[in-house]
Amino acid sequence: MDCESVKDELYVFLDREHLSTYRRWQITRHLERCRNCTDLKDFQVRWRVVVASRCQDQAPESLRSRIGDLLADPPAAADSPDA
Amino acid sequence: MADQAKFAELATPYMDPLYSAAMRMTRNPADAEDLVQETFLRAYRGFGGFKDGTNLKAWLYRILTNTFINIYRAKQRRPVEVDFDDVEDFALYRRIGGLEAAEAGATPERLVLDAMPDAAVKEALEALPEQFRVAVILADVEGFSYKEIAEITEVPIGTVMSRLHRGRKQLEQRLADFAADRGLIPSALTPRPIPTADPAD
Repeated sequence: MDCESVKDELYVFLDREHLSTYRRWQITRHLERCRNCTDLKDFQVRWRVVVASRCQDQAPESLRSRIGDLLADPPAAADSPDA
Repeated sequence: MADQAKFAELATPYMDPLYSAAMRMTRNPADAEDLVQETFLRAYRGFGGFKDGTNLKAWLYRILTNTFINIYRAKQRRPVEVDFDDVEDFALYRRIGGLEAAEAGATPERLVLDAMPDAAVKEALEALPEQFRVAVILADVEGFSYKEIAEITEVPIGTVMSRLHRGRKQLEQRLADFAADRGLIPSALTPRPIPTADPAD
């Protein structure tokens, strides 16, 4: 396992998916020994937290009440939603 | 078969995340509101066919994504949505690498990431090409798995992985450019090399 392979598979590794147990173990072992790759991995972990936390919006009150009204008295299914 | 009367109680907690995703997809509040309202209406009508115990959140996002693609996308103006063909890997990480920590105890990474405003991250995400954007929203904002994203967007898992890979690279590149424009990182900085050697084994 070299740095290039770790870099190529880093997203998938961090997604905790799609890698064999053996491959995960190889990457983990490489990270334990390689400062550069660990720095990159740590940055990517923090970066993901930043992306997720910066992209949250609250539904406006107008939408809440529109949906509340809709569910309280749903229009008949015959009305085409595309109309 | 799910009980339509329980729909409001089960679906309402997803309104904020659905609205967030709708904002990134449509890029404006009026369309995002309409998209979420339409999603709730379609979900309510289809709720009889929803199987109890299956993933309600994924089901709602599938309706949201389909509605977006089939209705809203068609009528939207498509603003600058440049597909960067030639994007470096881990652009932000590389660009920050040359910085010295400004204060003891604070890494340069942390200083730049903490200073990254919500609006910049949202704008960068909204500027991604649509297929990459939807993949990144579903994975990195909403936390869906590859398999769930494949089902929501109706493409094979390999396609999901490739869209995510390219979307994430482009997002990091855009934020690196933003940080350089804002002076958060010097634009002339020599990027830190990504490891290519093989120090361990």
